[in-house]
Amino acid sequence: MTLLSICIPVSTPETALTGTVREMLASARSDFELVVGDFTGGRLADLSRLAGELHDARLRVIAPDVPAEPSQEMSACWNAMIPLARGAWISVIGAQDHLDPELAAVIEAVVKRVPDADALAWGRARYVPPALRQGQEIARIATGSRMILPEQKDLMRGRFYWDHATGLGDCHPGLWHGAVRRDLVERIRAGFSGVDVEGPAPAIDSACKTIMLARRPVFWERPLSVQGAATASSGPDAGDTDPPFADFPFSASTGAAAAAALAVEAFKRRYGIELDGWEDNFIQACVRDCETADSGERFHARKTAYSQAILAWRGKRGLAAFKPEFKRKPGIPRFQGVRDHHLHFDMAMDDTQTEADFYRLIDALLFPVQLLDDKLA
Amino acid sequence: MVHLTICLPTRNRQAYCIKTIAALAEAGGSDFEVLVGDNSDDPAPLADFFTIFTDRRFRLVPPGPAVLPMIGNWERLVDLAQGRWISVIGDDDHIDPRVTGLIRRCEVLHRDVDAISWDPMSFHWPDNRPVPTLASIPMTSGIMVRQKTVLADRLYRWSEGKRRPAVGVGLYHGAVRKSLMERIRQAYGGRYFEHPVVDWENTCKVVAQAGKIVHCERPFSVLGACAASNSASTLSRETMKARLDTFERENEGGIHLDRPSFPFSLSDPGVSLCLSIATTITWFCQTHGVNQSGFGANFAQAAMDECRYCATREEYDAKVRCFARGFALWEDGYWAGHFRPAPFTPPKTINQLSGLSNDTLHIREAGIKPATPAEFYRFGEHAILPVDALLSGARVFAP
Repeated sequence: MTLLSICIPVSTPETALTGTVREMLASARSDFELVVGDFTGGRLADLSRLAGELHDARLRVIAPDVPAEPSQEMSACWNAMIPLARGAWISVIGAQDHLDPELAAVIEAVVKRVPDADALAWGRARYVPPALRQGQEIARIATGSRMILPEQKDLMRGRFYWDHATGLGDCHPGLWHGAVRRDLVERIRAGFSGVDVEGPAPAIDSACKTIMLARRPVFWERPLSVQGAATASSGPDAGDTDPPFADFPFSASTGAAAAAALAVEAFKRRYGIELDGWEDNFIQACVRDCETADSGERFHARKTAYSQAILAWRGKRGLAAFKPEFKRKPGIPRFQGVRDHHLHFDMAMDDTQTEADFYRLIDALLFPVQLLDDKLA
Repeated sequence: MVHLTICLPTRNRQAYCIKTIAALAEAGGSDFEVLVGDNSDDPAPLADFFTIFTDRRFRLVPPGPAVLPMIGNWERLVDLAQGRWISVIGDDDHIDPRVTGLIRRCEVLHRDVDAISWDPMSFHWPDNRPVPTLASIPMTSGIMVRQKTVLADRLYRWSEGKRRPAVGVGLYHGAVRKSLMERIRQAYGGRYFEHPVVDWENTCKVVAQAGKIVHCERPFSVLGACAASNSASTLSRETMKARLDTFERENEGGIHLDRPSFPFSLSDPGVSLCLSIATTITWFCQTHGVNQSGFGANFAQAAMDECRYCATREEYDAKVRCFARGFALWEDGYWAGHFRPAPFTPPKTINQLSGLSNDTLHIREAGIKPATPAEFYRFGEHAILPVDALLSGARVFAP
């Protein structure tokens, strides 16, 4: 029985993919499968060669047809491959990402204690490969190993109200760098338009739907996967400069907070969900988005774009709450150490080169996955 | 002016020592010197190395006509030290010579400081991993004055009752002002060192004689453990017994580790580091008239704590028997009733519990690349406060 399907939709050839696949198949576990969706038009030659060499039944390379309009392309890829997954639990990652197949052991340990668990989230780790770094990059990973059963209202406050006071800032249930039980996947499909995900940002769409329909979400603080900086499949196209909604004049190119907000807005509008009281928190998320810009030039560009959008959206009153400060000035050090239950460290640590290599490092630094069952006993 | 002398006593581990020297030589700065005290049977390897190694910050002190006891090797190095401050590390360890910056900052903040301690990292060389091993990195970075009364209580009376007194003060992976070492020599019979457990003996003396002690939580050194090191003996009782035999043999005529006034045997198969520390502390306090009230009950607690960490039933039984025999003999069994070790429970895991615990990051060494303590220090520096930020007292950080 396949417990876990790790799905990797690939729309453009990725040189890192064969390494990712090889690393994950190095696991001795036999209860997971790796499903690579080739949406490149057959250009994954390296992977096909690797699959031929490995003869590993855990690896399936599939190439479904995807008739879809361009803006829906990534969602269409997900929708084409998720129904073909055989696992009792399903997870989706990008071609440059890494997911520890020991997730299957975590699922077993969770289900033993929480039989009705149907969505599992974990602390995320993000990684910027050396070639893409703009100066010093600081990694931030959770140091805790608590298993938490979050309430739906808290997850909704985090996702729809931008409320960071829930203490669940790292908890993002859904298929993307999360695992969803098959019956919940099917309920979501039945409950929302007959497809798994919609819109240009399938990761956020999946999170919204999972939060709405999950009966027992579970969150393990400990990171189990690494999301690469170059992964584009989780969000809308950052090059898209046209605001899709006239009354919410942000575009995906404004910044990461705006891109996430657009995906949430799309979900809400599609299903007639009207919420109030999230706007001020969102503006503060825009402030944080600006303040993490890695150069003065980027900070000012981002600040200008957000200022214009906020002014057009909420007027001068909204703009009064938007006061980002550029803090990454030369001479001000970046923090390294432990703060707010997170380890902050220079990504140059241990000279890692890939997401899988980075996971190898953080795995050595964090609570061992194989001890989770004992910890929960 | 040499600000810091780093003493590197070594004995028959030339390969490790040369790697340690090479790692120290990578440091910039001219305000430190390194004294390599070679006490090896064969002087050639280090002598040959120093013919091609031309860094003037390093001096080789070759072996004498006869092998010295460990305290003799330490004694001559401290005597030859030209620095205003002195530090000692093992030949399989590492220290960051930029610790001179910390010393200067402490001198500015506290003009009368004469001993500085820090929390070291720990690391097992790849040849010393017969079982899964964990390295450790202290993660905090505060600088504070340590209360001598608290330290004295922890050390001489073992007030915390844990398997090791949390003191960490002295020359070994710490820095002591040369003038304090001179005061120690004057106060204790014209020698810097007397007892074979030289690091803990020095801790006892520094706590007794120091004016002001400052502690920095940020690590500046790495306690390495290679296959041949004393600390490796915690992984192998056979190795530990061999080391103790060497201590006794080379210390002929000097102080012995087994003493009637503290009749716990260090030759016992159940000997532990906890017991050797206790032996040293009691020797110092009895010899130099330091009040130890409360030590008996606290040491019994420490002994019980030591027994809690046994990996096997065999090890547990041996340690319990060793402590029980000693308590039965010590002061006519007065403290024997305090030694009530908890029953043995096999550990679920041995050295696998990585992660953050008590402000220390424990790292599974099989999963990381560093192969020497110096490499591990550079690895660890990516996750702790940078030296420059520590020394400038930075409180504001960029997001």
